[in-house]
Amino acid sequence: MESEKNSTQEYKMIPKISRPVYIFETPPVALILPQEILCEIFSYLGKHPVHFTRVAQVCRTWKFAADNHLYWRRLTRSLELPDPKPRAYKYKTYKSVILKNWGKFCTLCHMRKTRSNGFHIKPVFVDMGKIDKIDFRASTWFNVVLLEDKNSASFVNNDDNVQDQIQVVKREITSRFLKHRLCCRCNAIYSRFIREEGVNERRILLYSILEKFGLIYQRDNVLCDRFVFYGEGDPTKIVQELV
Amino acid sequence: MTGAPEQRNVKLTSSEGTEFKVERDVAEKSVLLKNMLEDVGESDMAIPLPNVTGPILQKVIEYCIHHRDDPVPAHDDDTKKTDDIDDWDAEFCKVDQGTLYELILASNYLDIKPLLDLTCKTVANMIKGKSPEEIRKTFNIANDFTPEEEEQVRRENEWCEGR
Repeated sequence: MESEKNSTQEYKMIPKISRPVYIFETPPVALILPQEILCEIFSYLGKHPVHFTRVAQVCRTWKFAADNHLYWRRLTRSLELPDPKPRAYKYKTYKSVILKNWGKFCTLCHMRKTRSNGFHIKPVFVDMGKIDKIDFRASTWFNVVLLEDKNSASFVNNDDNVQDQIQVVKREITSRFLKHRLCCRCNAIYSRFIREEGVNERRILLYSILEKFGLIYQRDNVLCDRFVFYGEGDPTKIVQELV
Repeated sequence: MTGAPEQRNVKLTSSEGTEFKVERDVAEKSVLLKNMLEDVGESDMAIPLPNVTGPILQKVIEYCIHHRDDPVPAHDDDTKKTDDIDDWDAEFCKVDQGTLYELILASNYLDIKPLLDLTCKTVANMIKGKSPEEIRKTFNIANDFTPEEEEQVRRENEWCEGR
Protein backbone atom coordinates (compact mmCIF):
# COMPACT_ATOMS: atom_id res chain seq x y z
CA MET A 1 0.00 0.00 0.00
CA GLU A 2 2.71 2.36 1.07
CA SER A 3 4.85 1.56 -1.93
CA GLU A 4 1.92 2.08 -4.28
CA LYS A 5 1.34 5.52 -2.89
CA ASN A 6 4.97 6.33 -3.40
CA SER A 7 4.90 5.19 -6.98
CA THR A 8 1.88 7.32 -7.80
CA GLN A 9 3.58 10.28 -6.25
CA GLU A 10 6.63 9.64 -8.35
CA TYR A 11 4.44 9.44 -11.40
CA LYS A 12 3.03 12.85 -10.65
CA MET A 13 6.48 14.34 -10.39
CA ILE A 14 7.27 13.88 -14.06
CA PRO A 15 8.73 17.19 -15.19
CA LYS A 16 6.70 19.39 -17.47
CA ILE A 17 8.75 18.90 -20.58
CA SER A 18 8.77 15.17 -21.04
CA ARG A 19 9.96 12.76 -23.65
CA PRO A 20 7.44 10.80 -25.72
CA VAL A 21 6.82 7.40 -24.24
CA TYR A 22 6.74 4.40 -26.54
CA ILE A 23 4.36 1.82 -25.21
CA PHE A 24 5.07 -0.80 -27.84
CA GLU A 25 8.41 -2.50 -28.19
CA THR A 26 7.97 -3.17 -31.86
CA PRO A 27 6.43 -0.31 -33.82
CA PRO A 28 2.77 -0.97 -34.61
CA VAL A 29 1.87 -1.96 -38.11
CA ALA A 30 0.12 1.31 -38.87
CA LEU A 31 3.44 3.11 -38.57
CA ILE A 32 5.13 0.86 -41.11
CA LEU A 33 3.00 2.31 -43.87
CA PRO A 34 5.12 4.69 -45.91
CA GLN A 35 4.10 8.30 -46.29
CA GLU A 36 2.84 8.02 -49.84
CA ILE A 37 0.45 5.23 -48.88
CA LEU A 38 -0.76 7.21 -45.89
CA CYS A 39 -1.48 10.06 -48.28
CA GLU A 40 -3.30 7.69 -50.60
CA ILE A 41 -5.46 6.51 -47.70
CA PHE A 42 -6.12 10.05 -46.51
CA SER A 43 -7.26 11.11 -49.95
CA TYR A 44 -10.28 8.85 -49.44
CA LEU A 45 -11.26 10.50 -46.20
CA GLY A 46 -13.81 13.00 -47.39
CA LYS A 47 -14.05 16.56 -48.46
CA HIS A 48 -14.45 18.29 -45.16
CA PRO A 49 -11.22 19.47 -43.49
CA VAL A 50 -12.36 18.07 -40.16
CA HIS A 51 -11.24 14.62 -41.28
CA PHE A 52 -7.73 15.86 -41.89
CA THR A 53 -7.44 17.87 -38.70
CA ARG A 54 -8.51 14.86 -36.68
CA VAL A 55 -6.08 12.56 -38.40
CA ALA A 56 -3.32 15.09 -37.80
CA GLN A 57 -3.71 14.71 -34.06
CA VAL A 58 -2.93 11.01 -33.99
CA CYS A 59 0.87 10.89 -34.10
CA ARG A 60 3.82 12.66 -35.67
CA THR A 61 3.97 10.60 -38.83
CA TRP A 62 0.28 11.04 -39.49
CA LYS A 63 0.44 14.74 -38.67
CA PHE A 64 3.15 15.25 -41.24
CA ALA A 65 1.24 13.33 -43.88
CA ALA A 66 -2.04 15.09 -43.17
CA ASP A 67 -0.68 18.62 -42.92
CA ASN A 68 1.22 18.36 -46.17
CA HIS A 69 -1.48 16.53 -48.06
CA LEU A 70 -2.37 17.63 -51.56
CA TYR A 71 -5.93 17.97 -50.30
CA TRP A 72 -5.24 21.39 -48.84
CA ARG A 73 -4.04 22.69 -52.16
CA ARG A 74 -7.07 21.32 -53.98
CA LEU A 75 -9.35 22.89 -51.42
CA THR A 76 -7.57 26.22 -51.73
CA ARG A 77 -7.97 26.10 -55.49
CA SER A 78 -11.61 25.07 -55.40
CA LEU A 79 -12.43 27.89 -53.00
CA GLU A 80 -10.50 30.31 -55.17
CA LEU A 81 -8.28 31.44 -52.36
CA PRO A 82 -4.85 32.92 -53.01
CA ASP A 83 -1.84 30.62 -52.87
CA PRO A 84 0.30 30.87 -49.76
CA LYS A 85 3.50 32.81 -49.93
CA PRO A 86 6.44 30.66 -48.90
CA ARG A 87 8.29 33.59 -47.36
CA ALA A 88 5.33 34.88 -45.41
CA TYR A 89 5.57 35.18 -41.68
CA LYS A 90 2.48 33.23 -40.74
CA TYR A 91 0.51 31.80 -43.65
CA LYS A 92 3.08 29.66 -45.39
CA THR A 93 1.11 26.52 -46.06
CA TYR A 94 -2.10 25.77 -47.87
CA LYS A 95 -3.60 24.54 -44.64
CA SER A 96 -2.95 27.84 -42.93
CA VAL A 97 -4.59 29.69 -45.81
CA ILE A 98 -7.70 27.58 -45.37
CA LEU A 99 -7.58 28.10 -41.62
CA LYS A 100 -7.33 31.84 -42.02
CA ASN A 101 -10.30 32.04 -44.38
CA TRP A 102 -12.49 29.29 -42.99
CA GLY A 103 -14.69 31.64 -40.98
CA LYS A 104 -15.51 33.61 -44.09
CA PHE A 105 -16.96 30.68 -46.00
CA CYS A 106 -20.21 30.83 -44.21
CA THR A 107 -22.11 33.77 -45.50
CA LEU A 108 -24.30 33.72 -42.46
CA CYS A 109 -21.54 33.71 -39.85
CA HIS A 110 -19.58 36.22 -41.79
CA MET A 111 -22.55 38.49 -42.31
CA ARG A 112 -23.37 38.35 -38.66
CA LYS A 113 -19.85 39.49 -38.04
CA THR A 114 -19.86 42.22 -40.64
CA ARG A 115 -23.46 43.19 -39.90
CA SER A 116 -24.55 43.62 -43.46
CA ASN A 117 -28.20 42.78 -43.76
CA GLY A 118 -30.84 43.10 -46.40
CA PHE A 119 -30.68 39.54 -47.72
CA HIS A 120 -32.83 36.62 -46.80
CA ILE A 121 -30.99 33.37 -46.83
CA LYS A 122 -32.83 30.35 -48.02
CA PRO A 123 -31.05 27.40 -46.41
CA VAL A 124 -30.26 24.10 -48.03
CA PHE A 125 -31.35 20.80 -46.53
CA VAL A 126 -28.40 19.18 -44.90
CA ASP A 127 -27.87 15.85 -43.29
CA MET A 128 -24.99 16.15 -40.86
CA GLY A 129 -24.21 12.49 -41.41
CA LYS A 130 -23.21 13.35 -44.95
CA ILE A 131 -20.50 15.66 -43.83
CA ASP A 132 -18.04 14.33 -46.39
CA LYS A 133 -20.34 14.93 -49.30
CA ILE A 134 -19.59 18.60 -49.54
CA ASP A 135 -18.82 19.62 -53.05
CA PHE A 136 -17.45 23.10 -52.92
CA ARG A 137 -17.41 23.54 -56.65
CA ALA A 138 -20.56 21.96 -57.97
CA SER A 139 -22.72 23.61 -55.33
CA THR A 140 -24.85 20.55 -54.76
CA TRP A 141 -24.55 20.75 -51.05
CA PHE A 142 -23.09 23.82 -49.68
CA ASN A 143 -24.35 26.76 -51.59
CA VAL A 144 -27.28 28.87 -50.62
CA VAL A 145 -29.22 31.37 -52.57
CA LEU A 146 -29.70 34.79 -51.21
CA LEU A 147 -32.97 36.31 -52.17
CA GLU A 148 -33.12 39.99 -52.42
CA ASP A 149 -35.92 41.54 -50.34
CA LYS A 150 -38.96 39.30 -50.13
CA ASN A 151 -38.89 37.55 -53.47
CA SER A 152 -40.29 34.22 -52.48
CA ALA A 153 -38.57 32.12 -55.10
CA SER A 154 -37.59 29.14 -53.00
CA PHE A 155 -34.57 27.02 -53.57
CA VAL A 156 -34.51 23.83 -51.59
CA ASN A 157 -31.90 21.23 -52.31
CA ASN A 158 -33.39 17.79 -52.68
CA ASP A 159 -31.44 14.85 -53.96
CA ASP A 160 -32.71 14.42 -57.46
CA ASN A 161 -33.23 17.29 -59.80
CA VAL A 162 -30.72 19.54 -58.11
CA GLN A 163 -28.85 20.28 -61.25
CA ASP A 164 -32.02 21.33 -63.08
CA GLN A 165 -32.99 23.55 -60.23
CA ILE A 166 -29.58 25.10 -60.17
CA GLN A 167 -29.89 25.79 -63.86
CA VAL A 168 -33.25 27.39 -63.32
CA VAL A 169 -32.05 29.45 -60.42
CA LYS A 170 -28.97 30.46 -62.31
CA ARG A 171 -31.11 31.83 -65.04
CA GLU A 172 -33.30 33.75 -62.65
CA ILE A 173 -30.77 35.09 -60.25
CA THR A 174 -27.50 36.68 -61.10
CA SER A 175 -24.37 34.67 -60.49
CA ARG A 176 -23.45 36.92 -57.59
CA PHE A 177 -26.06 35.22 -55.49
CA LEU A 178 -24.83 31.73 -56.15
CA LYS A 179 -21.48 32.34 -54.57
CA HIS A 180 -22.67 32.18 -51.01
CA ARG A 181 -22.16 29.22 -48.77
CA LEU A 182 -23.23 28.07 -45.37
CA CYS A 183 -20.98 26.33 -42.89
CA CYS A 184 -22.11 23.03 -41.44
CA ARG A 185 -23.15 24.60 -38.18
CA CYS A 186 -25.40 27.22 -39.75
CA ASN A 187 -26.70 24.66 -42.18
CA ALA A 188 -27.63 22.32 -39.37
CA ILE A 189 -29.39 25.07 -37.47
CA TYR A 190 -31.28 26.15 -40.55
CA SER A 191 -32.25 22.72 -41.74
CA ARG A 192 -33.59 22.00 -38.27
CA PHE A 193 -35.56 25.20 -38.56
CA ILE A 194 -37.02 24.00 -41.83
CA ARG A 195 -37.77 20.60 -40.40
CA GLU A 196 -39.76 22.22 -37.59
CA GLU A 197 -41.81 24.02 -40.17
CA GLY A 198 -42.41 20.65 -41.84
CA VAL A 199 -43.51 19.22 -38.51
CA ASN A 200 -46.08 21.96 -38.16
CA GLU A 201 -47.45 21.11 -41.58
CA ARG A 202 -47.79 17.48 -40.55
CA ARG A 203 -49.55 18.51 -37.39
CA ILE A 204 -52.12 20.53 -39.32
CA LEU A 205 -52.67 17.58 -41.65
CA LEU A 206 -53.22 15.30 -38.69
CA TYR A 207 -55.73 17.73 -37.22
CA SER A 208 -57.78 17.73 -40.38
CA ILE A 209 -57.78 13.94 -40.77
CA LEU A 210 -58.69 13.40 -37.14
CA GLU A 211 -61.55 15.84 -37.51
CA LYS A 212 -62.93 13.73 -40.37
CA PHE A 213 -63.12 10.84 -37.92
CA GLY A 214 -64.68 13.10 -35.34
CA LEU A 215 -61.67 13.02 -33.05
CA ILE A 216 -59.60 15.65 -31.36
CA TYR A 217 -55.84 15.68 -31.42
CA GLN A 218 -54.43 14.74 -28.06
CA ARG A 219 -51.26 16.53 -27.25
CA ASP A 220 -49.54 13.84 -25.20
CA ASN A 221 -50.44 10.86 -27.34
CA VAL A 222 -47.32 9.02 -28.41
CA LEU A 223 -48.77 7.82 -31.67
CA CYS A 224 -49.78 11.34 -32.57
CA ASP A 225 -46.28 12.55 -31.99
CA ARG A 226 -44.80 9.69 -33.94
CA PHE A 227 -47.07 10.55 -36.79
CA VAL A 228 -46.13 14.17 -36.61
CA PHE A 229 -42.41 13.61 -36.48
CA TYR A 230 -41.85 10.57 -38.62
CA GLY A 231 -45.11 10.69 -40.45
CA GLU A 232 -44.13 8.73 -43.51
CA GLY A 233 -46.94 6.24 -43.28
CA ASP A 234 -50.53 6.40 -44.37
CA PRO A 235 -52.37 8.95 -42.19
CA THR A 236 -55.67 7.07 -42.15
CA LYS A 237 -53.97 3.90 -40.94
CA ILE A 238 -52.37 5.75 -38.10
CA VAL A 239 -55.69 7.31 -37.25
CA GLN A 240 -57.33 3.88 -37.22
CA GLU A 241 -54.68 2.72 -34.83
CA LEU A 242 -55.46 5.69 -32.65
CA VAL A 243 -59.15 4.85 -32.68
CA MET B 1 -1.45 -9.03 -82.15
CA THR B 2 -0.45 -12.43 -80.81
CA GLY B 3 -3.99 -13.41 -79.82
CA ALA B 4 -2.89 -16.84 -78.65
CA PRO B 5 -5.91 -18.74 -77.36
CA GLU B 6 -3.97 -20.93 -74.92
CA GLN B 7 -2.92 -19.16 -71.78
CA ARG B 8 0.69 -19.46 -70.77
CA ASN B 9 1.09 -19.94 -67.08
CA VAL B 10 3.31 -17.65 -65.10
CA LYS B 11 5.20 -18.80 -62.07
CA LEU B 12 5.57 -16.50 -59.10
CA THR B 13 7.71 -17.10 -56.04
CA SER B 14 6.84 -15.52 -52.73
CA SER B 15 9.41 -14.41 -50.18
CA GLU B 16 9.49 -17.83 -48.47
CA GLY B 17 10.02 -19.53 -51.80
CA THR B 18 6.50 -20.88 -52.25
CA GLU B 19 5.67 -21.16 -55.92
CA PHE B 20 2.37 -20.00 -57.38
CA LYS B 21 1.16 -20.76 -60.87
CA VAL B 22 -1.23 -18.23 -62.35
CA GLU B 23 -2.53 -17.64 -65.81
CA ARG B 24 -0.96 -14.84 -67.70
CA ASP B 25 -3.93 -12.50 -67.92
CA VAL B 26 -4.40 -12.80 -64.15
CA ALA B 27 -0.77 -11.91 -63.57
CA GLU B 28 -1.06 -8.97 -65.92
CA LYS B 29 -3.49 -7.29 -63.54
CA SER B 30 -0.29 -6.23 -61.86
CA VAL B 31 1.44 -3.52 -63.84
CA LEU B 32 4.80 -4.56 -62.42
CA LEU B 33 4.39 -8.14 -63.64
CA LYS B 34 2.92 -6.98 -66.92
CA ASN B 35 5.93 -4.83 -67.69
CA MET B 36 8.26 -7.54 -66.52
CA LEU B 37 6.61 -10.16 -68.69
CA GLU B 38 6.77 -7.85 -71.67
CA ASP B 39 10.45 -7.30 -71.07
CA VAL B 40 11.34 -10.91 -70.44
CA GLY B 41 9.06 -12.48 -72.99
CA GLU B 42 8.34 -16.19 -72.92
CA SER B 43 10.24 -17.85 -70.14
CA ASP B 44 9.78 -20.74 -67.74
CA MET B 45 11.66 -19.01 -64.98
CA ALA B 46 9.68 -18.24 -61.85
CA ILE B 47 9.43 -14.53 -61.06
CA PRO B 48 10.69 -13.86 -57.54
CA LEU B 49 8.64 -11.46 -55.44
CA PRO B 50 10.79 -10.95 -52.36
CA ASN B 51 8.51 -8.27 -50.87
CA VAL B 52 5.39 -10.42 -50.74
CA THR B 53 4.78 -13.33 -48.41
CA GLY B 54 2.96 -16.49 -49.44
CA PRO B 55 -0.44 -15.97 -47.75
CA ILE B 56 -0.60 -12.38 -48.99
CA LEU B 57 0.27 -13.42 -52.53
CA GLN B 58 -2.48 -16.01 -52.26
CA LYS B 59 -4.95 -13.26 -51.35
CA VAL B 60 -3.73 -10.99 -54.14
CA ILE B 61 -4.10 -13.77 -56.69
CA GLU B 62 -7.59 -14.49 -55.38
CA TYR B 63 -8.48 -10.84 -55.96
CA CYS B 64 -6.95 -10.80 -59.43
CA ILE B 65 -8.81 -13.95 -60.46
CA HIS B 66 -12.13 -12.51 -59.33
CA HIS B 67 -11.50 -9.26 -61.16
CA ARG B 68 -9.76 -10.71 -64.21
CA ASP B 69 -12.46 -9.51 -66.61
CA ASP B 70 -12.76 -6.00 -65.23
CA PRO B 71 -11.93 -3.22 -67.65
CA VAL B 72 -8.84 -1.16 -66.99
CA PRO B 73 -10.10 1.72 -64.86
CA ALA B 74 -9.95 5.17 -66.32
CA HIS B 75 -7.49 7.44 -64.63
CA ASP B 76 -9.47 10.07 -62.80
CA ASP B 77 -8.34 11.40 -59.48
CA ASP B 78 -11.33 13.55 -58.71
CA THR B 79 -13.79 10.77 -57.98
CA LYS B 80 -12.61 9.57 -54.60
CA LYS B 81 -15.63 7.84 -53.21
CA THR B 82 -15.61 5.35 -50.40
CA ASP B 83 -19.12 3.95 -50.64
CA ASP B 84 -18.77 2.11 -53.94
CA ILE B 85 -17.32 -1.11 -52.54
CA ASP B 86 -19.26 -4.13 -53.75
CA ASP B 87 -20.10 -7.14 -51.59
CA TRP B 88 -17.34 -9.43 -52.75
CA ASP B 89 -14.74 -6.75 -52.18
CA ALA B 90 -16.12 -5.92 -48.75
CA GLU B 91 -15.95 -9.60 -47.83
CA PHE B 92 -12.45 -9.77 -49.25
CA CYS B 93 -11.34 -6.95 -46.96
CA LYS B 94 -12.65 -8.57 -43.80
CA VAL B 95 -9.20 -9.55 -42.61
CA ASP B 96 -7.14 -8.54 -39.63
CA GLN B 97 -5.31 -5.24 -39.77
CA GLY B 98 -1.88 -6.74 -40.27
CA THR B 99 -3.06 -8.58 -43.35
CA LEU B 100 -4.75 -5.44 -44.62
CA TYR B 101 -1.53 -3.43 -44.36
CA GLU B 102 0.40 -6.23 -46.02
CA LEU B 103 -2.17 -6.19 -48.80
CA ILE B 104 -1.74 -2.45 -49.21
CA LEU B 105 2.02 -2.77 -49.37
CA ALA B 106 1.83 -5.72 -51.76
CA SER B 107 -0.62 -4.01 -54.10
CA ASN B 108 1.53 -0.91 -54.04
CA TYR B 109 4.61 -2.96 -54.86
CA LEU B 110 2.89 -5.01 -57.54
CA ASP B 111 1.17 -1.87 -58.81
CA ILE B 112 -2.41 -3.16 -58.82
CA LYS B 113 -4.37 0.07 -58.74
CA PRO B 114 -7.87 -1.32 -58.07
CA LEU B 115 -6.67 -3.40 -55.15
CA LEU B 116 -4.73 -0.48 -53.71
CA ASP B 117 -7.83 1.69 -54.02
CA LEU B 118 -9.99 -0.92 -52.37
CA THR B 119 -7.69 -1.48 -49.41
CA CYS B 120 -7.08 2.24 -48.93
CA LYS B 121 -10.81 2.85 -49.00
CA THR B 122 -11.28 0.19 -46.36
CA VAL B 123 -8.71 1.82 -44.09
CA ALA B 124 -10.18 5.27 -44.77
CA ASN B 125 -13.60 3.98 -43.76
CA MET B 126 -12.07 2.74 -40.52
CA ILE B 127 -10.65 6.23 -39.87
CA LYS B 128 -13.72 8.23 -40.81
CA GLY B 129 -15.81 9.80 -38.11
CA LYS B 130 -13.49 8.87 -35.28
CA SER B 131 -11.78 11.11 -32.78
CA PRO B 132 -7.96 11.03 -32.66
CA GLU B 133 -8.03 8.92 -29.50
CA GLU B 134 -10.39 6.40 -31.12
CA ILE B 135 -8.18 6.25 -34.18
CA ARG B 136 -5.17 5.48 -31.99
CA LYS B 137 -7.08 2.69 -30.30
CA THR B 138 -8.36 1.25 -33.56
CA PHE B 139 -4.96 1.15 -35.21
CA ASN B 140 -2.91 0.49 -32.09
CA ILE B 141 -0.83 3.60 -32.60
CA ALA B 142 1.26 5.00 -29.79
CA ASN B 143 0.76 8.66 -29.08
CA ASP B 144 4.25 10.01 -29.64
CA PHE B 145 3.40 13.61 -28.84
CA THR B 146 4.50 14.99 -25.54
CA PRO B 147 1.57 16.32 -23.49
CA GLU B 148 2.49 19.92 -24.35
CA GLU B 149 2.72 19.14 -28.04
CA GLU B 150 -0.55 17.24 -27.92
CA GLU B 151 -2.28 20.25 -26.38
CA GLN B 152 -0.77 22.52 -29.00
CA VAL B 153 -1.72 20.25 -31.88
CA ARG B 154 -5.21 19.98 -30.52
CA ARG B 155 -5.52 23.75 -30.38
CA GLU B 156 -4.15 24.09 -33.90
CA ASN B 157 -6.68 21.65 -35.28
CA GLU B 158 -9.94 22.49 -33.60
CA TRP B 159 -10.90 25.33 -35.93
CA CYS B 160 -13.15 23.35 -38.21
CA GLU B 161 -14.88 21.08 -35.72
CA GLY B 162 -18.59 21.36 -36.32
CA ARG B 163 -18.49 24.02 -38.99
